[in-house]
Amino acid sequence: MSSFDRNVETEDAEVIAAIWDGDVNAYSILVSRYQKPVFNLMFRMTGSYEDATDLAQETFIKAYDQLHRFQKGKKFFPWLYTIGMNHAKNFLRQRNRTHCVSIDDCEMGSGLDYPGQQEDNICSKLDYELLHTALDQLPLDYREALVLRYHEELSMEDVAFALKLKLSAAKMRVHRGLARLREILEKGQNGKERS
Amino acid sequence: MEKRDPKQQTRPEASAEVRANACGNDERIKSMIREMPDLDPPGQLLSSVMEAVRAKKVPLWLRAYRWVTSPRSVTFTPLQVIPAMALLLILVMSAFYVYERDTRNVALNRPSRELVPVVFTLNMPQAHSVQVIGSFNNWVPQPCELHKDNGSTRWILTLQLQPGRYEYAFVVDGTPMPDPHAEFYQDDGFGNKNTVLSLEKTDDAI
Repeated sequence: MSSFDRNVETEDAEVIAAIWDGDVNAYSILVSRYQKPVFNLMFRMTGSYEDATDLAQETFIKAYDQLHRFQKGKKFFPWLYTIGMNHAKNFLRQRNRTHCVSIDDCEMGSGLDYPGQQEDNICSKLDYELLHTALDQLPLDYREALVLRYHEELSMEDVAFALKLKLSAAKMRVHRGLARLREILEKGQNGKERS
Repeated sequence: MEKRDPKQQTRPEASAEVRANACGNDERIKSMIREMPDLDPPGQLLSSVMEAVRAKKVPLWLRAYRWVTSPRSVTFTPLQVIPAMALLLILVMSAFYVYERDTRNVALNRPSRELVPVVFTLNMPQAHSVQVIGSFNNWVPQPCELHKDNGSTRWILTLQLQPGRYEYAFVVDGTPMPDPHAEFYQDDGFGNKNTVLSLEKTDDAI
């Protein structure tokens, strides 16, 4: 664990202690810190900007309501992610919707059109489009395991906690998810080259 | 004999190359996932969450629970500790003294309108001290010393007891013995006999 992670963890614990002491406004620090990953989780789950907004908002409110169940010494973000995942799964179960996320669906200025970042990023927009499409083809647990491990850079223990899996199962999902993602991307690349 | 597809027959160096490519691709995929751009959440998300959260009232029980379960740090100086400890010691000793006194006088001197006067007598002129112990004074002889009037050969003590059943014995010069004039006795389980005394509400002095 990096010192940055430790600092964030300590800060989260202090914020939660302040909320427990009645400082409601302290919760805004946690919302500001984690709204982006939670919102993006919801967008991956639903493919809808509006639904993702609603679900992210409800997730934070739900987490606040359940904050008294949060165990001291645990990390807040994996705990929040679990709540978000369950909430999104319930939503999808009720709506019985399938989702399809495409980079073209993103609104201008939403972050995915990153004009200023294009030159800095290693991959082209086309690569990211392929990556998004490939990620969407993975089972939910595999996709989120990869996102949590490599995008959010959580430890394997935290990935397992967030996905309510055993450590070995989380490692397996990351390993197999990566292999499956490689296959999908290679197939997509070969298909593109042939065409 | 089974024929194998020539395409599937891979040389060792070829499979190593495939593995190396796979590893390279994996690293590239990890890097892509790491650099994958995020959508920015809508600007009103924070404000709408905080608005909803502020409208919620934390239940009193939850606040009380949080308060009592939160660790507190207390600072003090030795000068503050000494009088506090002395006061605590006085309180504990006072409580202990009161408890001892009350348990010793189990049935004695209790404020009650139904106390029955009981006169304990023992004719034993050669004794130097006589006490009575029993279930009414928790078998402690100190407050129940019998006395002998000048010229008399009888040791005597009057106690006010509540109605009930008691067992007692005299302690003559430190040696317990049952009342020689009693009607009922009870074995104490250690080879000795205690005298049994039964007091009714309507009993007069015994």
